[in-house]
Amino acid sequence: MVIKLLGAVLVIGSATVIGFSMATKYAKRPETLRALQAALQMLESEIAFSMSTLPQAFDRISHSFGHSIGKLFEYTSHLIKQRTGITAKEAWMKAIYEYNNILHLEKQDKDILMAFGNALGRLDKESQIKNIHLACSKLSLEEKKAEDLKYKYVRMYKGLGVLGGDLIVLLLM
Amino acid sequence: MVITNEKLIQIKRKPITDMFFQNISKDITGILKKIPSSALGCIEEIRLKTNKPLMIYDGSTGWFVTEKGKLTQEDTTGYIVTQEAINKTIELISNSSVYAIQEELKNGFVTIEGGHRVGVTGKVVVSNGNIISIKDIAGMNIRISKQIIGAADSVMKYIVAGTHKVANTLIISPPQCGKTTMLRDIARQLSYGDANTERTGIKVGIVDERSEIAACFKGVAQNDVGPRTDVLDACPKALGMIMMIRSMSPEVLITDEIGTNQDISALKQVLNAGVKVIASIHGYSREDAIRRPIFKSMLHERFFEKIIVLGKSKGTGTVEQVWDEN
Repeated sequence: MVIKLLGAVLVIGSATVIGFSMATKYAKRPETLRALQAALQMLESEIAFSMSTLPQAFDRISHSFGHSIGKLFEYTSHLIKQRTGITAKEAWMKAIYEYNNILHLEKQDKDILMAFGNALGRLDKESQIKNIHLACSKLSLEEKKAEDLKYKYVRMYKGLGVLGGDLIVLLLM
Repeated sequence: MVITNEKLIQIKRKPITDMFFQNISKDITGILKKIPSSALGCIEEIRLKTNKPLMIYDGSTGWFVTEKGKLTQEDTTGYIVTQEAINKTIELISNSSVYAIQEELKNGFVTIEGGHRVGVTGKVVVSNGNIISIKDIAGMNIRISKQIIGAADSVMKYIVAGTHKVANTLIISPPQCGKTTMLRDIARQLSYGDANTERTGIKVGIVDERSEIAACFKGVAQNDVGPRTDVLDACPKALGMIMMIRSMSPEVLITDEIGTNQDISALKQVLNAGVKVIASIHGYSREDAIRRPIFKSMLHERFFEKIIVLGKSKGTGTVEQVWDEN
């Protein structure tokens, strides 16, 4: 009986964890998208007013932003600074790929980032800023959609995890 | 006239290093690295043009470069440069920040680390008669920096009397005859001083409007212009000369290619402040300079104590004549 009980707790526990981790993905995405927009706005002011070079600007952004976003900018800057002939676009793509797991982004979000990366560092000031605005407005649209999805799915997955675990226990009893 | 036809002897060219290659697109560097090092050491210019073969110049002759790094006169076998390679090179030169070198690109060139100069051509954007920027860059000329240490050896004895008495000197030279090279080495030698002749080092100020004398990268001189030398980089001469004497109290002020009335009046102010001047102008001889109204009064009033005329009679940088105006 004790073993059965223990097993039941284990099953419910792990099902809950699975549910919560599914929910995290939906909960974190709008946050990341918001932070990305803030980071790009910071990049805009670095380019428009401070005239800093891209690695300098990216370093400053990485200091101001937390875990995942910070890493994305830091790694890109690191790659450019090595001066191995890698372009900003290539460095940016590599960084997105490298930190894919901790970014909590969907494919369409990464597409926006990659389109933004295409023009990174190779345009004049005005076009560079336009490119940032474009990426920001696209990210903002995705953020709204992600917010809706979050509202819909976070509670569902959390509930589904717990209830699913209960169901399995009941069936096995 | 004091001397005629003296030829400088030492020529030192900066080697092409990996640091230099970091500025160029990978496919082009791959080819350049295949060129035998003896030939690589002689390169003065690397030319990239969209959809045209890669070219190098060794000072006198232009060569096309094949994919295997062979030099040829046959344009059909040259490696064709793509627009992508040029875009990448511009990106690498600017450290992935083309927007940050926009201002410099307006002048048609940027100076990169090591003092090398990259000239660009493409579509020029003009607004109200002013050049806003150059976009769609389709041609580049990467000129390898070379500093000729000792270029001024033969003239130092005319410029400096005793331990530190510098004469106001005007260098007259046709284009491509080593006038900037000469000025650079004069700055270096004045700044270091010379233990053998007991010449003491003195404070030198360079107003480097076209970034050619000191070849500054981010404000730091890439050529050796001496330990007591201050450089105002990319600064208009007339403004820079006044700025320099106010801010850095140089004993000698050096500037290239005097040509406008503003330059002359600034020059007079500097001379009145008791600062010595070494400057250069375009010209073929002393008579040639006197014929031009703008310099006529300067020379008649004996603002300059020594006049050095450069030419090509025994190769670039030949000191053709030295005039003592006193």
